[in-house]
Amino acid sequence: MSNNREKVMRPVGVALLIGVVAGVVGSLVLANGWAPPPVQAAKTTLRTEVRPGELDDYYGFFSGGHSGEVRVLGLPSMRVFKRIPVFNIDSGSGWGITNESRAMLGDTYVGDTHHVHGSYTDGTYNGKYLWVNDKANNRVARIRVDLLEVDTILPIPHTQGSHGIFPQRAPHTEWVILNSEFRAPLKNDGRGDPVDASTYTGVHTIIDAEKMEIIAQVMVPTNLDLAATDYSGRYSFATSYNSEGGATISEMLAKDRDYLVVFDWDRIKEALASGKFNVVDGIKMLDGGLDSGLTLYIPVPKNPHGVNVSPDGKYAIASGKVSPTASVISIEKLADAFDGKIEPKDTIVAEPEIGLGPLHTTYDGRGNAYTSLFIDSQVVKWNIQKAIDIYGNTKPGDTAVVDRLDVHYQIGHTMASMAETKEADGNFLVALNKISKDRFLNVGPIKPENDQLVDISNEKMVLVKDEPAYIEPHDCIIVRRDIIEPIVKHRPRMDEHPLAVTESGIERDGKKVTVRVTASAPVYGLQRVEVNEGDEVTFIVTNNDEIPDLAHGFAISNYNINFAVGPFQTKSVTFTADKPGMHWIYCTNFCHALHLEMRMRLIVKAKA
Amino acid sequence: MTEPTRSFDSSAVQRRESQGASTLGVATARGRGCFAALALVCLVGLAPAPSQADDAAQVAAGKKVYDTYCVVCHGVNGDGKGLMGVIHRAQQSGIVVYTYPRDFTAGMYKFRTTPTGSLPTDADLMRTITNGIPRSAMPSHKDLSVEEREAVIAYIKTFSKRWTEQEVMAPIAIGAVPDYVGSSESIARGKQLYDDAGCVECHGASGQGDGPSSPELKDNWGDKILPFDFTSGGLKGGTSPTDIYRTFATGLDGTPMPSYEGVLEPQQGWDIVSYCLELMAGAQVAQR
Repeated sequence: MSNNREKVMRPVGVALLIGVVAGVVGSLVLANGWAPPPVQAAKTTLRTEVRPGELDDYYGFFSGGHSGEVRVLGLPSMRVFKRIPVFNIDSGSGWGITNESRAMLGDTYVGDTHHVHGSYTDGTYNGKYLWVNDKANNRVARIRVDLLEVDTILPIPHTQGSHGIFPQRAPHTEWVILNSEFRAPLKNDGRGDPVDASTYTGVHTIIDAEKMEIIAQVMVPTNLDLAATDYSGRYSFATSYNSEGGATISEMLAKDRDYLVVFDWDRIKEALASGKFNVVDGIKMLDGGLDSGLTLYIPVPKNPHGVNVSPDGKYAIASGKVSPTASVISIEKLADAFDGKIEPKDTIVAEPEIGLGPLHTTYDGRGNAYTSLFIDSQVVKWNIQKAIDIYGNTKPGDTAVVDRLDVHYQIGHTMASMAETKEADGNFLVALNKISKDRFLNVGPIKPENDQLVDISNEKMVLVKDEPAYIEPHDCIIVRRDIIEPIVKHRPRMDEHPLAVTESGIERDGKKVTVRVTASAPVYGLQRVEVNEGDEVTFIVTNNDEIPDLAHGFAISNYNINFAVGPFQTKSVTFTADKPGMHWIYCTNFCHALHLEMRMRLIVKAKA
Repeated sequence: MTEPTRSFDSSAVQRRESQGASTLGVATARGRGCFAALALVCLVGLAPAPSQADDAAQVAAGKKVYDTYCVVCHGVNGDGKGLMGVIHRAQQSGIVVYTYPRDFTAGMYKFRTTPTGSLPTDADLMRTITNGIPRSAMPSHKDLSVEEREAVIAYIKTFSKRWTEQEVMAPIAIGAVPDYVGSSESIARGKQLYDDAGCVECHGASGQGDGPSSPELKDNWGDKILPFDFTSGGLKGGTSPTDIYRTFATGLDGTPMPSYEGVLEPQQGWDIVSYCLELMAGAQVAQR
């Protein structure tokens, strides 16, 4: 470890030195108007520091891995603004506690989010929705950007390991596709022979982005890992590392080449229109097998993981994690391959050697690709056109590699600013490192990940900062502030919730008691509620405060209930009053100088 | 624990005390409020002779209720200068606007069924006390007995001489909601009236309380006040068609919201109701 650390400290030191020089140069300009030649040829104006009170230039939407959440960060500060509970339970916001969230979650509180992607218009973000997958319990959640809260959770049957997810990029997002990484029995009911892996299937699910319904599922013989869509609205992509159909790790690594699977949406739409599907459990199932015509199986080296499409829409780049190469697939050639005019392998236009353990590729919009190297713990910058030019004709010394940056350590995903849009701007890159080891003060056996910010605005990559991250961001997107900021509201419309309370009161229907309560700093709309032991009690709480950032909490002592309501929001909770006695209900979210006095009494009268 | 003074604004309380009655005069001089003119109309008679013993007992009981539930906002003297100070804050164009508790000493009430300038009926007071007021810290008091609420009504009347000098007028009659309320024709007529009758001046073309006059509006106490934003949930005077009709028929005394009783024909009133409902629903559609 110490050797590694010594080695990687050097470039950081150089970067600091450059920073100091640039600072001195800047002050010279201000002092006497004389501008010395720039230290570096490329632009040097990128802001990498955000001072107290200043706002960031980018929103970062990060998955939260098996924490089950999504996080909102600011870049370049890397400050975490918000943790959006999605598939998990969250005592603070009440996600998983309120009736509204439980209607979406049910009793399933374990989630594993990997990829957050936004809705598109014409190849760039339109700021309407985000989607995120749950690999553990096979669900897709949609987040409204205007509130940055989940509005729908859709269970995905017939799948396991729901992993790669990507929205349609053009003309606008109508479909969202989802890959099942683990092949599994289609009818997974424990009947037949569930041990026989040859009966398992992979599934490419097509979701209606607006209605959040499943349009169809395409069954394939292989597993499907990461996902991408093209910039024309015709293709989706999936890497497949288990073309062997193996059930053990040895079996999965048998072949030297696996697949990049391409799905032709024109042909899928045709098959749907002409009824070429079976209906299973109410879902249209299409055959996407090797000879189906709906799919193309491009052989790529070995056990590929990531697939990312370049911002110019020309190339899909997949990386074989057990091969030191990336495969550059020409999207333009796909139509000929689907028509049988060329072989699937002929769509590969470059396979540069870039380093050990290549995973994911991102872009600067200037023709360069940046690929994460898990084993090398590096980000490698390489030129796509150069790789194509030397493909099959590489002379000694020829390389597409432009630069390498050590990262700390064992990088998984990497993502550059706006890189999954046609507006990739080549300013920042985030290296999402799986291991932080010695980069932070020791916090015990489970340590934070290390998300590192890299300035890629120049020829050489420069490491800007380390940011510890709780379990466990896999991927992120980095979106310009001007796209998101105007969309996000301080409050919803109060009547978006059909039960919004503007008049407090108590209603009893047999043993069911409904209590409607306004919350308005620093009082609830009732001071006292009396119910009987055994009653089924529903509290509906609306925050009637309207200025920004005046949220209230609602905790019922001894009843395992708490939630927070923002301005004009309504949340409700139903429980059985099974603990007799007097229980204070109090505001948990600091709201007012008299916040501590903001409480009411729940009286549960004992049975006889 | 950030900004501990942002809600409990003691400086605002002091500011109001220093402004006091003089700003009340300024506001009435603007001519927007209907208090000054119509107060004269309502000086119609003296209150009936009280049955002293019963009333004294009820007032005493009411004081107990008041001191338990009301005093923190409305104050020992009923002048709205309790410890709470501010009971609601809204924001427009980056400026925060405060709402203060009702000052019972003026004997002037927003939420009435009676003509502008006149006192509310006991039923009006009972309705406000029972239901509370949306978007303010005035809670519901359904958790109090009817007797307690009646007693506190008797007590708050002791804060203003108007209750002994003036008679409560009969409520403005409001007929059944006509079938055409909510129809596209009625909405179209209502929109025209919304412009012609001057609603748009304060409430704005989008109904978000941002009309050209909105930055200058003040209430009779000289405090800045925002027109209702139709996208902000419940109307304080109630959200049913009848509630909306009543609100602009009676006006909201002490605020720039005038009474349109006698100004508009009933059908015109219902057409405006149609358009108000459309503003609330239309904004909801646009939002999604």
